[in-house]
Amino acid sequence: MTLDAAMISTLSGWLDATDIDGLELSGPQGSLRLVRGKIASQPLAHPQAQGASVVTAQSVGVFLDRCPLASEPAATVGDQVAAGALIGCLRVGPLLLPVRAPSDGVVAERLQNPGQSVGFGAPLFRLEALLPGEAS
Amino acid sequence: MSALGHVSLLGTSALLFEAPGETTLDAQRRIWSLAREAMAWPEVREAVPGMNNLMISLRRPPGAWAPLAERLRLAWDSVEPLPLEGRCIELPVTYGGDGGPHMADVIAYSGLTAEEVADIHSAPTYPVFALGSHPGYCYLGGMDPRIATPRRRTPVLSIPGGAVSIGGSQTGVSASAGPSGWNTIGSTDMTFFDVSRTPPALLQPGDSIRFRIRKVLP
Amino acid sequence: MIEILSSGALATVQDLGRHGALGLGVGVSGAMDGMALAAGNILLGNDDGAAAIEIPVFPFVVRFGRGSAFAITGANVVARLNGSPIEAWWAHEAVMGDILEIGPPEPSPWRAARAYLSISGGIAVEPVLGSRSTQLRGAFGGHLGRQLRKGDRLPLAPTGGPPRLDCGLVPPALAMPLEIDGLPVVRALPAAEHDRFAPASLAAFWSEPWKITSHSDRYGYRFAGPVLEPLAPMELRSHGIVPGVIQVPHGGQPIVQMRDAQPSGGYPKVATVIEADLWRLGQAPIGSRVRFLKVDWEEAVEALDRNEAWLGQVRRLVGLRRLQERAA
Repeated sequence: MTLDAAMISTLSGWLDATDIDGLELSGPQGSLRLVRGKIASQPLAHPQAQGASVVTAQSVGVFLDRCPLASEPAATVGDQVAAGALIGCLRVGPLLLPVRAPSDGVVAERLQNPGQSVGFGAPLFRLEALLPGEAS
Repeated sequence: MSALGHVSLLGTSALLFEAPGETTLDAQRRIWSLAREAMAWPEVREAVPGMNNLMISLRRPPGAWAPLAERLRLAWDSVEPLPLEGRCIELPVTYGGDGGPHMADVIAYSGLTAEEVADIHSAPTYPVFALGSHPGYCYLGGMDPRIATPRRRTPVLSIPGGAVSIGGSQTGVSASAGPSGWNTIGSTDMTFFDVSRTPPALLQPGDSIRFRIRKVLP
Repeated sequence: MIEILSSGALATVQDLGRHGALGLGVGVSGAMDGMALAAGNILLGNDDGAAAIEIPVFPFVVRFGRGSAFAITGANVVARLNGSPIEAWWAHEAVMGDILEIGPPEPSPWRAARAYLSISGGIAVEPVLGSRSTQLRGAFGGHLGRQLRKGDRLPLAPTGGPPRLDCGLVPPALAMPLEIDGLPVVRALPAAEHDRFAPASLAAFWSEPWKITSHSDRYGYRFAGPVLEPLAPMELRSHGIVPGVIQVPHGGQPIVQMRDAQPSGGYPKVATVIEADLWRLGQAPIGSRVRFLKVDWEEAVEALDRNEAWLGQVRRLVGLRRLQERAA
């Protein structure tokens, strides 16, 4: 997909009609960050330098430790999680985006309080790799 | 020409126009005409005749409803009656018995015998005023007021198709099984609605029905 | 194809309703919770009004005859795909042979009665008179014009919709709650005979909690509460009615007409639940209590606008998410 001027205009129009402050589209050629009131394009720079064990926000949104329908947190510190497991949510207006474990591991730390607004790339969880033989 | 009708709200989905005065065929012919006119208004999804009244369902509620209500009242004042030019079907009816479980209530309310109720009920040719209630059901005009009986205090959860019933000053035949608040006095056999037919309904406003007594059961 | 493996009691195929056949005596039918139906469809990239399965009795079990994205909206049900729990109000993916079991709704964070199973591309039963909704009284539309049974196989659209998006929605019951004194509220507009009821009855109607009795279904909700007395007996001429109309038969206990309501009636009408709140009432369980709140036309239209704005926002954000996925 190429993001041309017309597409950006459409996207920012949509954004204006929501109550969210911004959104991030990223692709192989770079990323586009739309923030209410202005449009800024920037080169691809995922803040994943903090290490593969940190799960970061893939969108702006409100961090939740569970789906709004769940009575329990999706994952708590000490939980062993499989790659792809839901460990939290980002709420963008009425939309819920998943926060999933990128690999098998143990939830070592939750790095945001539930209800906290976070930006793209914000650290959400620290996962520790399973030691060999630890998987049950 | 006459008094203006009354318009009320059915939530934000529809407006209900009620013609003034007694229920008459002449007024109903003007209701059909009003329906035809209102169907052409852009905000109207459907114009549905009732018994001397008309419901217009709305595509989307306008910011204010008073102008639309006024338009209905003014249109009523100027519409010409549509002619009554339909076909007539005859329906044999078994009055009373298991197929007429509320005949006793009509007898009690009217002070007539079952034979008298059947005679009075089968005497007129009933014009179809409107369709409603359930697929293919016809509201009929012209019932003799001597057999008028109030609707039931609590609706019956299911009456069978073919049930001939009285509700207030109206009569009709149910086209399929379902709940009803009317008093069932007899039964008949007829397929009033078949979705594979075009049009699916057997009768339309302007047609008429005659009931013939097949028998009167105690 | 999907196959019904449970009894299927009272489950029906529904879309947003059949409009334009009132004049044949054909009521609108359609989903009791139209917001949930539309939201599930938007999540999957379907048209808002694609047909889904409305499920009021649990557990409800289906087997997927082909792979498909799907979503369960409406009540907060506990669902399992091949035994693994999955979230309601979320888009999921099934492969051929997968078994989906939809269990009963949780009573929290809010109480609701019905779930909707939406499938990518929609349930592809033949439309009748412009709709795929089941017309129970007329025995047409939906699947053979009746409630679903064990062993029924429902056709799916041949190609399905776009690829599944891994995302969910905050249900409108949480986004737009409406309560007074802890009881769910539905808003209503006074109807033609409102002022012909006794003042004490009207005061009770607008202020007392009303219990939904067990004689309540898709045709209508029969309420129990104080007896509503007219100032004088009323016998009305039959006239068109719509879902939401609150009739008061001679017994004085109100009946709210619901989606399978007949399109005409003659009992006195005290009020009409506004179109914007029909989904709220459609989800109120039997035995629960609700309050009626009197509003005016402007408030009722504004409420409808807010529903549409919510759906519009969902549509835009899901659309953005789809672009984002395609770009990634």
